[in-house]
Amino acid sequence: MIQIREQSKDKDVIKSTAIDNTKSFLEIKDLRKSYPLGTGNSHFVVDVKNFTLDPGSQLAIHGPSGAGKSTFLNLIAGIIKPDTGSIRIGNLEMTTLSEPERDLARAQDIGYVFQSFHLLQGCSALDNLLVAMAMNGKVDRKRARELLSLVGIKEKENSLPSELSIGQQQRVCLARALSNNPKLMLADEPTGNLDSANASRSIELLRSLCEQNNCTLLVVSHDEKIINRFEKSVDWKEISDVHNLND
Amino acid sequence: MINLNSRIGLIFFLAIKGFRQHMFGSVVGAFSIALAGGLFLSTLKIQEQSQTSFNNASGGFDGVLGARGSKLQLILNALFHMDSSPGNLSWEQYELIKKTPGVKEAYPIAVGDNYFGYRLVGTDPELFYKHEWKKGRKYNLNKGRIFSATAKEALVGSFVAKKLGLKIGDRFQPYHGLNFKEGTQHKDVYVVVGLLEATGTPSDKVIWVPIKGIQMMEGHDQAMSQSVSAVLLSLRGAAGFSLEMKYNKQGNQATLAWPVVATLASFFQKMGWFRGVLEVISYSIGLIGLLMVASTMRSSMHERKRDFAILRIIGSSRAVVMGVILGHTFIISMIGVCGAVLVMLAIGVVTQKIILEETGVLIEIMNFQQHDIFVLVSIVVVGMLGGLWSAIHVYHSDLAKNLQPVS
Repeated sequence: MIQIREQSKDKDVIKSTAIDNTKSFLEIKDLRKSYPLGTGNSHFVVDVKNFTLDPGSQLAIHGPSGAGKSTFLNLIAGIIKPDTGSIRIGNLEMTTLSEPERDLARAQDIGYVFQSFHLLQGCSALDNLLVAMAMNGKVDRKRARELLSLVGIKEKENSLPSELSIGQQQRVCLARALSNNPKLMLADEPTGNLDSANASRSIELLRSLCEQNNCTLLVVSHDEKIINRFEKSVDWKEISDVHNLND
Repeated sequence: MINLNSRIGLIFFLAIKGFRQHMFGSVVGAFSIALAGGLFLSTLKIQEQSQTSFNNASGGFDGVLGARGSKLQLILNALFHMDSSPGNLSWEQYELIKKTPGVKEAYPIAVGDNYFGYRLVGTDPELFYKHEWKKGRKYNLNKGRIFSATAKEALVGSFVAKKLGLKIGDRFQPYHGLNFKEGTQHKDVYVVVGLLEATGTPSDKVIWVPIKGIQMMEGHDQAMSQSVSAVLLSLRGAAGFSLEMKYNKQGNQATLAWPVVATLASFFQKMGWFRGVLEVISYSIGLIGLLMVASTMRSSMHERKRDFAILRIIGSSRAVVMGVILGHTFIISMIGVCGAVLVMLAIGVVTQKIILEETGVLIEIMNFQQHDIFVLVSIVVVGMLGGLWSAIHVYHSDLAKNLQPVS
């Protein structure tokens, strides 16, 4: 069993009633995900026996591309459903939630930073944040502007993603992920499109913002330089081993 | 500012943003709808309105008495001022029918001359004082006065006045025959004394002169001075039945084209095959249009599937995604529908002009009827169904796949 724990610097600031600080914040058991092959067999991409994260902790998972790390994050976020297993975030058991309930959980409790940013191209930087807030029914323009200011692109709030540099888009994506005060932040190759200097700055920003917001951070990356910036990291192979299943 | 905290506000906001972002695709979609819808509506309208307008263009007459021959030819010649005259009637026959009980009005007409292709029709000036060309509508003068029965004076229909630029006091020499031919000008000089207001009937395409003017025109056959081309009739009660018996069934010297509307209807009925072809064409256009609308919406929404996937991953509910797709398709459909009305009006105006120039009949293109509204609503519904089709597809398709940029 792989279990990584790290104490939050200030557990008291986690105020959500959905979180019981005596328990781990994220708990995954016997999680499997496979995709059907044309031959009638299935190809397993995720097989996690046991995985837990404490509230406010930060962890990096490293592993090669195509190993199933992104699928793992998508499973946690409830974007895809597992074949078997359980995923508990705070007091929410994601695998038993209906699709609308998972949508709501994503809007309220989970922030997601993507390698490709996935910004709404027709919306300005500010609008991207406002739309994300609207999904939670709590649009706050002042806070949206504060977040953009925090990530250093306040002057670009009316720019469309296509008018922003890659680094700036990444910052908008980060601000958007934080816009609903998530309890869990998932980041899939968050610096994959950035140069080395920007990547370092960006990952530090992500870490410090999560720390300030008491948000549990789970990052997956194949980039050793990024992984090395985390106090705690783990190899994907130690979490999920699908070799036996696919043999 | 749109309230994003309200679900409707958010849907509306995202639909507008999507429309702007995919402006080209959205405009092309709306344009396709406008074209398909406009073609379908205008084909239906022209077909329906041309028949209605022709039926209403009989100038307020119930029947036409003319030489033995085709009823339709009589009507086309005497009321629509088209086609050639089937022959003449004697003045006595005109006098006789005028005095027949049940005949409310009888106006003789004589044709045979033109001025630059526009017919000169000789008649009794009483026609312009007493006759109602439409219920409650007598001829009105735009300028001048009605001609005198004994002078070489002309009253010009509005269309001719506009086309030939004729004004009060202008003098002209008619040409012989119903069609304009150089070198056939009569010596008689007519003076324009009045200009008629437009009626939207074939009388607008005519230069009206005293009947004696045509009968006595220099160069005409002497026999013509005692004959008329036809007699236009307004009848009382059931007089038409007895007159039809007298002229068409028992007599053999004249033909009564009565009732005018029924004769025209039988003409349109004979042309039923042509109407059928038009109907097939219009419904084919309609069907293609509907498929085009559905397919356009599907492609427009396909372009946006990545946006919808992004909305999903940031926690958008099924209802919001559906709403945004339907909102976007609704905007495209509504613009398309407005465009369809404009296309229909544009085609209508061109067709109206052509028909007016050819026949003098003004077809109505602005009168929206229930079935037109039904067609427009159907376009919006089909457009939204196309969007719904995409919405269902987007929602059930693999989110991760939809997140890939659309190439």
